[in-house]
Amino acid sequence: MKLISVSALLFVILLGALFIYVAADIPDFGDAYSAPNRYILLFSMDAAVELEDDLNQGVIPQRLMDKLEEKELPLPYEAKRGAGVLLFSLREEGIEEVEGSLNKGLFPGALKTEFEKIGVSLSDTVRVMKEEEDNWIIADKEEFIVRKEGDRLTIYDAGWDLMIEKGELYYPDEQKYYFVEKDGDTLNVYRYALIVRYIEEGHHETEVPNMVTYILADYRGYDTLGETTVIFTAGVSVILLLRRRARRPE
Amino acid sequence: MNQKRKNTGEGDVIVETVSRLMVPFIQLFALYVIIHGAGGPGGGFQGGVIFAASFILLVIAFGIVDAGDRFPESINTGLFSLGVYIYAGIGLLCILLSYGVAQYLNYGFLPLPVHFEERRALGMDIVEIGIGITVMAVITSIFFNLVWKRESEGGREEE
Repeated sequence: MKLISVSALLFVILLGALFIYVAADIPDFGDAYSAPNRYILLFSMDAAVELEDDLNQGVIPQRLMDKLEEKELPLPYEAKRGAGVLLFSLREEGIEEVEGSLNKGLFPGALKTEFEKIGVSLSDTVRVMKEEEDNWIIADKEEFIVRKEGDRLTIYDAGWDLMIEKGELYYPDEQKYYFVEKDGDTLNVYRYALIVRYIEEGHHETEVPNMVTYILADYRGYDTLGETTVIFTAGVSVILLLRRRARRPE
Repeated sequence: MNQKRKNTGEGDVIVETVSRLMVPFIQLFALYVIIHGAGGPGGGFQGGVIFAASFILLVIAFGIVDAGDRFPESINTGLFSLGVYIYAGIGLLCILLSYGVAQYLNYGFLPLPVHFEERRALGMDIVEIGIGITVMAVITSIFFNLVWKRESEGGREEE
């Protein structure tokens, strides 16, 4: 074998190894709820009871505000209880029973086995609170939200959405911007990634069902204009290099 | 007759007939892909390439001269820039027709008789058509220019 073919083979193997190394870090494609797609972790702080009480009442605690101000981030003005990562959903026949026992404030056994399947073991002192219609909170060391969506029950990680005011950061309406989640003894503060806005709001904002198209042509319109110009430039270069005028074969 | 055949490709009856039947359907499918970009897979880039493929099929079946007569290079060059003009012009129209309120490429301010969100969807469709025209013209032009050069040189060698 020639030296050049050996080195070409080695180069291809190297590229393949590099590709596998890079691809291992890419989150599952199309999974909108995988953590890297959804949130960016900003910082963590120690949890305290008074912080949680403030957040539950819709007030932003001063310690959190100080920390955000220190990092020169936009300041929120209101906290709302919000749902974080989707954990699982129940859509079997028995969800009426589950719903009934949730309404009575009891923790149903069917839910407990489902929680164990995803590796969350809940203690015996679980509290169930009814927040609104079709909306329950399961409180233990962590909190979870159960929502009835159509014919199924969906269980989310619970947290608080912090809203920023109208006009801040060029957003035309008030906008949820941070997500605070209690994890044991710490309080994690996330920022919603831009892609979350594209996924959640794009369909209402553009009336186009295809996510790829509205990102390509609307949110990233400048980018696509540039791409079209690149193709145009390629065509012009081909004309300059290859076109021969008046060389038509008779 | 014989001389003409030599310059215009194979002249196979089956190839000519089949491609004459296929080309309209390929072009219709290309238009479908461009317009369908809002609702499913597809869009300007893909549809433009499919449209260009129909002209490449014409060249394969009828030879470069006949195909070049059907799709003159001068029109093709115009279409190059027409697509980019449509895209950039829509962006500029948004600024002009909203009297400077909207940003560049904010399709919601186009003067169409529907509400804001639907205008954005229609603006995207127009933009996709522009992309499709440019891609179609460029791919066709690259292919025509490459083939043209080769055939003209081959023709001279025979003489």
